[in-house]
Amino acid sequence: MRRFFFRLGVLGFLLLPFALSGCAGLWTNAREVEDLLVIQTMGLDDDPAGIRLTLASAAGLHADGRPLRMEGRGPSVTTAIERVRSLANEEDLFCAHISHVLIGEATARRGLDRELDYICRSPDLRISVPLYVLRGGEAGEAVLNTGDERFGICDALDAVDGDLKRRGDGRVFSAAEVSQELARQGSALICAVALLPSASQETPQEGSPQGAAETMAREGAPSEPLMTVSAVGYGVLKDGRLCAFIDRDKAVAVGLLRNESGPCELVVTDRAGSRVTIALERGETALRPLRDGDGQLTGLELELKAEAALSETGAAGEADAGELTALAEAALSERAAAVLQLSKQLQADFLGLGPRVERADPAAYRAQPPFDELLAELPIRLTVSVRLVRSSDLEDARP
Amino acid sequence: MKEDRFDSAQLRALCAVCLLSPALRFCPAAGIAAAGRAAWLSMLAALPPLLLYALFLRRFLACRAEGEGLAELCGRAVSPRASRPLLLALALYHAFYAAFILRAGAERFITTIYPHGDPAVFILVLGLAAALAALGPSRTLVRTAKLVLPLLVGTLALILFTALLSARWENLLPVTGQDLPSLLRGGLPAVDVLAAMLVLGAFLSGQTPAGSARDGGWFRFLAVAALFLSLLNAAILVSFGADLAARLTRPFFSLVRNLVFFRSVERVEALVVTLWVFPDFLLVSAALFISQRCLRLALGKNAPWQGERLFSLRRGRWLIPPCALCAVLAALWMAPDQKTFLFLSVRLVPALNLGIALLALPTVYAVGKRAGRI
Repeated sequence: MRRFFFRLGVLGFLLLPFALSGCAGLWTNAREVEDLLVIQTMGLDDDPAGIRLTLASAAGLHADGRPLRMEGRGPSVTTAIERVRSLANEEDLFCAHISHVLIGEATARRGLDRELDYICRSPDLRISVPLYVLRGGEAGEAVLNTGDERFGICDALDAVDGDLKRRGDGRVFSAAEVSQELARQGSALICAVALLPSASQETPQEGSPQGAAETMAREGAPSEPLMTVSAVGYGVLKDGRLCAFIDRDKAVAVGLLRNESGPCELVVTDRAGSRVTIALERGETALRPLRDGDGQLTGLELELKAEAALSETGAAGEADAGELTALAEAALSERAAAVLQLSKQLQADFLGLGPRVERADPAAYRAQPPFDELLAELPIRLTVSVRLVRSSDLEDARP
Repeated sequence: MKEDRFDSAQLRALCAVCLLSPALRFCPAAGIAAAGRAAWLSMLAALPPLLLYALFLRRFLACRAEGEGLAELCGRAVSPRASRPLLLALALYHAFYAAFILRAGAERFITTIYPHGDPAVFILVLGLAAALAALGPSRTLVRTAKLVLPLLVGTLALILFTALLSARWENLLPVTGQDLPSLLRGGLPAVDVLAAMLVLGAFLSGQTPAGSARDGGWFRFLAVAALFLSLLNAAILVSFGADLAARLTRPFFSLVRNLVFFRSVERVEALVVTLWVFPDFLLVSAALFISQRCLRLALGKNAPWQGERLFSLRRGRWLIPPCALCAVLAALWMAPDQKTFLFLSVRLVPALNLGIALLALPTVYAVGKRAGRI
C-alpha cells in the first residue's frame, strides 16, 4: 500500500509540470481536422494600412465544395492573418499548406524583402512555397475574382504550375530559389501570371486576349467573363525589386540560356508566307568566358544548341528542312539576344551567367569586379543552332 | 549483485544518438557560415585532428583500471588537493551542458512547431525524464540509444535522400585552393561536437571492459559521423545555397519543412522535431549522469551503480536530484532572448567543449603521466 501511494505521488509529480507551466495550453491548441479551413493561396499587396492580405482555399475543401476567398488588412502579414482569422466566422484558418504566394505588381516593384523575410521566418509557410507576381494588377484582385463556385485561384495556380512543369517557356520559382539567387547574384526571376478571361466561357468575349479564345459550352454562363490566371513569362527582380517583365514568347530563350529547357513551340513564317510551327524539344547553352593575357574577362561566348520537331506547316512541301532550321535559328537568336540585352541593360544577371563564369575559372572570377557590374559593357557573342530531328508522320521537310 | 555494464559498441550507439542533438543545431549553420559552399568538404579538414584526438583519448583511457571512467581517471591523475576542484568543475560543466541542451531543445520546439510556446514546459518535462534516467543505471540510456538509433538513422537517410534528389548540384561548386582557410574554419564546429561526443563516451567508459578502448571502433565512429555531417551539409547546400543557408538559424529543420514525399505527404517537420526529443533526452541524461558521478567522486562517495532502487538516496545518490534541479533551473533562467541563446549556442558552449576536450583533458593526462599517477 505504501508503495502504491509512493507511485501515485510520483505520477502526480509527473503531471505537475502540465498544470503549472502552461502546458495545458498545448491541449487547448488542439484543432480538429474537420474544422480546419485549409488555405492554399495567399495574395499580398501593399495597402495604406500596411498590407492587404487575401487568402483562398481550393475547391472541394470547404463543406459546400466552393472555394472560399477572404480579405484582410493590417500593418504586417501576421497581423493581417489574425485579422482575417478573427473575421472568418466559424472557420478555423489553417495556413500550413499554403502552396502559392501571389504578389501584386506594384508591391513587387516596391521590393519583396518584407515578403521573403516573412516566408523565411514563418513557421506556417514552407520556404519552398512557389512565388508568383501578378502582372498588371493587384494580387487581391486575382485571389478574389478568379473562378467561380467550381474553381478558384488555387486550382488556377495549380494548373499553371502543372503546365509550366512540362514546358520550357516558363518556370515557377520558389521563395527559397528567389532568395538564393538574390543573395548570390543580386537578381532573380519570378513567375509572372496575369488575370485573363478563362477559356471556359459560353461565348467568346470581345477583346479577350489572344490565347483565351477556345470556348466550351457551359450552362448558366455569368454576365461577367469568368476569369482565371495564366502564365505570361517572368518578372525580373534586381536587388529584391521587380524591374522588368519578360514576355512568354521570349521566356523560351530564358529556359535555354539557363539550361532549364523544356518543350515549347516556335511559330515562324516561311518564304511562301505560311506559318510553320516548330516544337522545340530540348536544348542547352554552352558558355565560354573570354579572357585577355592578364586574366581579365573580355567577353562571353554562348553557344545555344536546340533540337526541334516539325509540328505544323501551312502548305506541305513548300519549306525544306534547311530553310525551317534557319528560320527557327533566327527566331531563337532574336529572342535570346533580346533577353541578353535586357540582362545587360538592367545589369541583372538573372540568367545565372556569373556563377557559370565562376565555375569555369574560379580564381580569375574572384579577382575580377562583381560580374553584374561588368555585364553592361561585356561583349557577348551568341551562336544558335537548331537541329530538326523529326517531322512527325509526314515526309515533307524531313530533316 | 546487478552490474551497470555494456560494451563499447553500445556506448558508441549512445554517442551517435547524442551527436544528433548538437550536430543538427550547430554544425550546418556554423559550418556553412564559416566555409560557405565548401562546407560539405570541411569534414576532410575536421577528420585528421579528430582522429588524433581519438588516439589521445585511447592512450588516456588505456591507463584506467577496471570500472574506472574518465572521471575516476582524472581524479587519480592530478594531485589529491587538485582532484576535488577538478571533479567539481567537471560536474558543474556537465550540469551546465545538460541545462543548455534542455534550453536548446525547448527553443527548437518553439521555433519549429509551437511559435507561442513557453520554453518552461519543455524544459520541465524533459528535465524530469532525464533526472529519472540519471537515477537509474547508465545501461538504460545505452539500451534506449540502441533502440532509437535505427529509427533516427532511417529518418535522416530518408530526409537526406529526398533532399538530394531535388537539388541544385551546382551550389556545391566551385571549391578551390583559395577556399582552404574557410574550409578549415568550417571544420571547427564538427571538431567541437565530435570531440564532445568522444569525451562523453570516455566519461561513460567505466562501464565497458577495460581493454575495449583499444579497438578501432571509435575511429570508425568518427569516419561515419564525418560522412554523415558532410552529407547533411551537402543536402542543405544543394537545397538552399550557401548564402541563404547561412542566414537560416536551423537550416536542417527548414529543409525538413520543405520536403514533399511522393508528391502527397508534406509538412512532416513536427514528426521529425518530435523524434529529436530522443537525442536531447539521452544527451541531457548522459550529461546529468556524468555530472552526478563527478560530484559524488568529489565528495568521496562510491559512485558506481550497485543495483540501488530508483529512488534510493544511499551512497551519495541524494546528490542526483539537486544536480538535475540545478540543471533545470539553469535552463529556465538561461537565454531569456534570442541573442543570449545564440551567444551560448555559437560561442560559449562550443568554446567550453573545446576547452574541456582539447585543453583540460590533455593537461590532466600530461600531469598524471609526469607524476606517475596514471
